[in-house]
Amino acid sequence: MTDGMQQIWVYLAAKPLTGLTLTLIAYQAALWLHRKAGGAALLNPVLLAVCVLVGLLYVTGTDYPTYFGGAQFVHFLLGPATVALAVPLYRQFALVRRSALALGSALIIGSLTAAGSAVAIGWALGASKQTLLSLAPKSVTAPIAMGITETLGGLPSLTAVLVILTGILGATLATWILGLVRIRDQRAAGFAIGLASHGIGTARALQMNEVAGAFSGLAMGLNGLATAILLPLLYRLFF
Amino acid sequence: MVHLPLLADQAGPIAAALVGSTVLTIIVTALIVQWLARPAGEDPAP
Repeated sequence: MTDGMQQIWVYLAAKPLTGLTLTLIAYQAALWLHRKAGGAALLNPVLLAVCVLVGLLYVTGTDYPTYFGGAQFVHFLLGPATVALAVPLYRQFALVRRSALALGSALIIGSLTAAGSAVAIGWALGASKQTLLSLAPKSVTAPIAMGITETLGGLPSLTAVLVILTGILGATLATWILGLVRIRDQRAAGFAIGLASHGIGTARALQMNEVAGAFSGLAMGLNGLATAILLPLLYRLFF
Repeated sequence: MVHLPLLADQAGPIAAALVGSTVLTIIVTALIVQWLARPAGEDPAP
């Protein structure tokens, strides 16, 4: 960067709105590209926006606390956005009630599969115990996952990274995987996406349709609860 | 603090666990819901 550009950046970086503006521009540009590409799963807007922002912070040498000083408004909106997931769920409540048995069974088996398969694959390939404990709750929404990891003795900050990566993976691969195993039921599609890839997956499910979005939001909440209960019990059994 | 050395050191097992587990979880969960929530009398075969 030239000296002039460097000075302009130092000035802008000190302004709290810069982080927010960059975040919004990066996401809007990524969303535009995603739509232009006909909704291509690999061009997931969250993935693209994260890549652009990480690259930008790296190139400009901006530390995370400085960026977050402005971007924390988006973080604040995460709370109301999560609560707003109750709206599609309320609209689909009759459908949820009719599917209660299927959802309960899928929740327990899916929750155990998410944690168990991650630990089993990691263990088979030689991951350390601390890594395995940090991997186990990776399908749960970040605040709950970090709390679970802390209880088990893993690394909460590593879990946070793994949770985000899982969300992006699930959102990117979900439609392809569901097509592969011929899932036509939107309740099943949404519930599986939310359970495996929490909020980022739910954003993808909401783009698919309202039924998938409602069931995805439900799965995200229920899986947080199920994993918080099941994982410490399993840990006491096996370690 | 984001334990970058640990991430780099165990990138292979971590990547395999994330991809494998996410794919497996989506398949298992979706198949259970689709199969158990199907209307009565419907053929369970795809």
